[in-house]
Amino acid sequence: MSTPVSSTRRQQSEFGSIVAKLQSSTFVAKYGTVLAAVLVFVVFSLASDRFLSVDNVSIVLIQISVLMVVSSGLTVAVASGEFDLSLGQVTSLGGVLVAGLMIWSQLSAGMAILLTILAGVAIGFVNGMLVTWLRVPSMIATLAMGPIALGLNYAYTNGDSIYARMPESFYYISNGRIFGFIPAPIAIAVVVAIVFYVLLNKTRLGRGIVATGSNIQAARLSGIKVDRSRIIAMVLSGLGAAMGGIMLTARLGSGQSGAGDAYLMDSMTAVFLGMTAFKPGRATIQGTVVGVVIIGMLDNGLNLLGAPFYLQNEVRGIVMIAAVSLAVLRAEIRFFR
Amino acid sequence: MSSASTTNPRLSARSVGKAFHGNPALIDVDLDLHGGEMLALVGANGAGKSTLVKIICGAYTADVGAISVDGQLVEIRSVGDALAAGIAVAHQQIAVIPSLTAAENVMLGREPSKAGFIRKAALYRSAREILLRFGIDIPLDRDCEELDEGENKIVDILKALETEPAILILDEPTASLTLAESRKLFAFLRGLKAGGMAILFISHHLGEVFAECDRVVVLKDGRKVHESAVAATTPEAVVQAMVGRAVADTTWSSCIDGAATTIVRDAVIAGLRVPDLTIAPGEIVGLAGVVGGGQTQLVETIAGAGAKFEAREIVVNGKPGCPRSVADAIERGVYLVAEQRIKKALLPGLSVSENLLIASLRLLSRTGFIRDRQTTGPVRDAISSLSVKCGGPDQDVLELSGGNQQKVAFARWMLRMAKGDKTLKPLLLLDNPTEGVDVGSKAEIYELIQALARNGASVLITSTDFPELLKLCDRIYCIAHKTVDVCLPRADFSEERLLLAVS
Repeated sequence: MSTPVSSTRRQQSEFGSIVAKLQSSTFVAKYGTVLAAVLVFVVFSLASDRFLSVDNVSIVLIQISVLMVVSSGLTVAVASGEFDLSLGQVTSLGGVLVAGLMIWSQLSAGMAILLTILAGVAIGFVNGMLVTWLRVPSMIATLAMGPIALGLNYAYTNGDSIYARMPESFYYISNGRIFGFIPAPIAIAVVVAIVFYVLLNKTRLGRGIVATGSNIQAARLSGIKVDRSRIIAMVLSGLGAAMGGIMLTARLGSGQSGAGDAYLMDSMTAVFLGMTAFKPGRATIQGTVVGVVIIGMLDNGLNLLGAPFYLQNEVRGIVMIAAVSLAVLRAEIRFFR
Repeated sequence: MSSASTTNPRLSARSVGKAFHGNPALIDVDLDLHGGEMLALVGANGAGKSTLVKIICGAYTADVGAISVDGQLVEIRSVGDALAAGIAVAHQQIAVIPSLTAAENVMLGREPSKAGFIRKAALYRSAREILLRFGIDIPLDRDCEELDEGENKIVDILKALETEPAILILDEPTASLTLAESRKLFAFLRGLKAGGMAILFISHHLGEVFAECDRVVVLKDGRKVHESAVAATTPEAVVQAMVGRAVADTTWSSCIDGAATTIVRDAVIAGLRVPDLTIAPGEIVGLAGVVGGGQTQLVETIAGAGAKFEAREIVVNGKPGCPRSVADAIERGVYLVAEQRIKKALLPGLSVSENLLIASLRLLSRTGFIRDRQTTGPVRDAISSLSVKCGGPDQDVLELSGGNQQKVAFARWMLRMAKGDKTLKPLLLLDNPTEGVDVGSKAEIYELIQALARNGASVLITSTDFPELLKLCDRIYCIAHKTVDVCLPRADFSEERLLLAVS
């Protein structure tokens, strides 16, 4: 009454070839973005003889150090399932605040940095409260927090740049050399990235944040305090933005009202690019590093090749769309459910 | 089935094969479906049923093989191709729009209109004609959210029939229906069959396969392993083909040990009245009701995840008062395996290991840092103790089959119990724990539940699969009219009584 069915050898071998093809495509899914980074690197190295020079590589790394710090914080927010669209304005606010505290309030560099970081943390905390207590979706809450931070920025600076000599020790953040040769901003970016990596991957807190971002209901029913996870993630995003603002002011030598605004777009792009690498669909620090490096190389390479200034903007937009669509087409970004 | 096999098949698939990520999902499958027959396609989760259905309806393309309709070879590359070939599918998820009426849903996308405005009277007339044609009765002017699931399923199928297909594929149409609703659906399907429709019916419920279908095809690990007329086989033979071995029907014995440690008296929880509910250590208590009857809110409240509620007396696992949070409940040894695992229990995109550890982080990382040294052992133990089939602890949990996903949801608490206070007798809250789980894994989950009860766990289990409750429970509370009302002791168990009590 039953009819056993067997498959032929021919079919088996066909499956063998399909197996091989699909395994290689899993590799592409995981490391495609890294390969893209390598491709960008090779193309610019061939196209410009200055791209690979020690000076230029050092410049690129210093340039992306601020973006790396800001993006590390955003990575945590995105890992928890939230956006932070106030990021650019918080970076700008951090930048003018640290300058103003040193120049106008005559505080020491250390105290100014500490207070600025606390301000970033406070804004992140408010964002977190809006998201959890008032149940405002983070996309809206942080979109609204952006102009609020901008308003605070203008109220503090009157919209002017803060030019004046800042304490010498403050410039160590941009000009210093760790062990006499590692530029301080690079060292800071590396330390921040490592700390955030350990936080997300090796701590209970980070695991709770990642679980919340993966499935908030399941995380809650597993005993994770999901609201706390989300608040802390938003706080860390504000923290990253404030630290980025401080580094930016040290590099520019002045507090400029709009200096940090562009970091929203760049860090979003970096995180989304990162979500297509290593652990597809997940915001990870290691992925964000790849994203940041790609953006840094594109900016610098296009400059070296003498591309018109507006091309960088076009490329930014296209890279962001490409990153997200790649991820969504492969149904890997669960973030946009 | 007698006449069916002598005619030419309406749909015939030959040597169909398909692989994903290197894993063959379907290997050399032949399938014939005749007009006027209902063919059951059964198999464990991951056996290849969905893949085969998706190939037939154009959602996937086969790597190898051919499909013909009425003897004509057809090239099905998209859902549109399948529709053009006369193949329609009603998916497992009911796709009706709750805020529209039944008639508006039936006519969705083909509303009679004049100058862009919908002609309401004509719409209802057409919908009534369709109902009349298929000999069914549904309140057409009511919003679908007011209809029961069974009626919604029929509306859903009526929408699929819009293209006047000759071949209808039903993917687990009864998965979320009560028995009474299923019966109504089958009356409708019998009518369709009598009209010459070829129906491919995918189901996990062998009872309805044997009651309603003509032939049965069993898939296992992507291959067809059994095909016969329903009249010529037995459920036991089909199950054996599905799991590849005989499934022992577990013998039941009560393990009740002492007085009730969980008590809910005169409570109203999310609109559900609970006059008196008790669970003792070692006892397996069932909660029977229709889908959406409030049982989920009840168990989630006991697990510390519910909204505010009133109760005259509530004791949860030996401690008075309701847990204030899930963390509080877990401290008390109250563990919830939530319904709809993908939505409520699993962390998609995270690994098996991360999914297993999530409820035990506090025990395993006292300093706040998670160290592989402390986690690999417990994870390995949890995977092996429930024989979770996975590529390793780092595999994405969503890549597992439904049965193995559910085992992960269970194993999360097994890991917690193994690492936590061993003297604490747990209260397990299992919300529809075998939903979409294959027969083999079901049997393993039953054994697990019984083993836990033997070790002194209190168990509260909800299910829409009543035979499952009858098999496992010491007592079954029945939810009717928004009240946890009748409590049947085991001596009074019968499916009929249960059906009467919940309807």
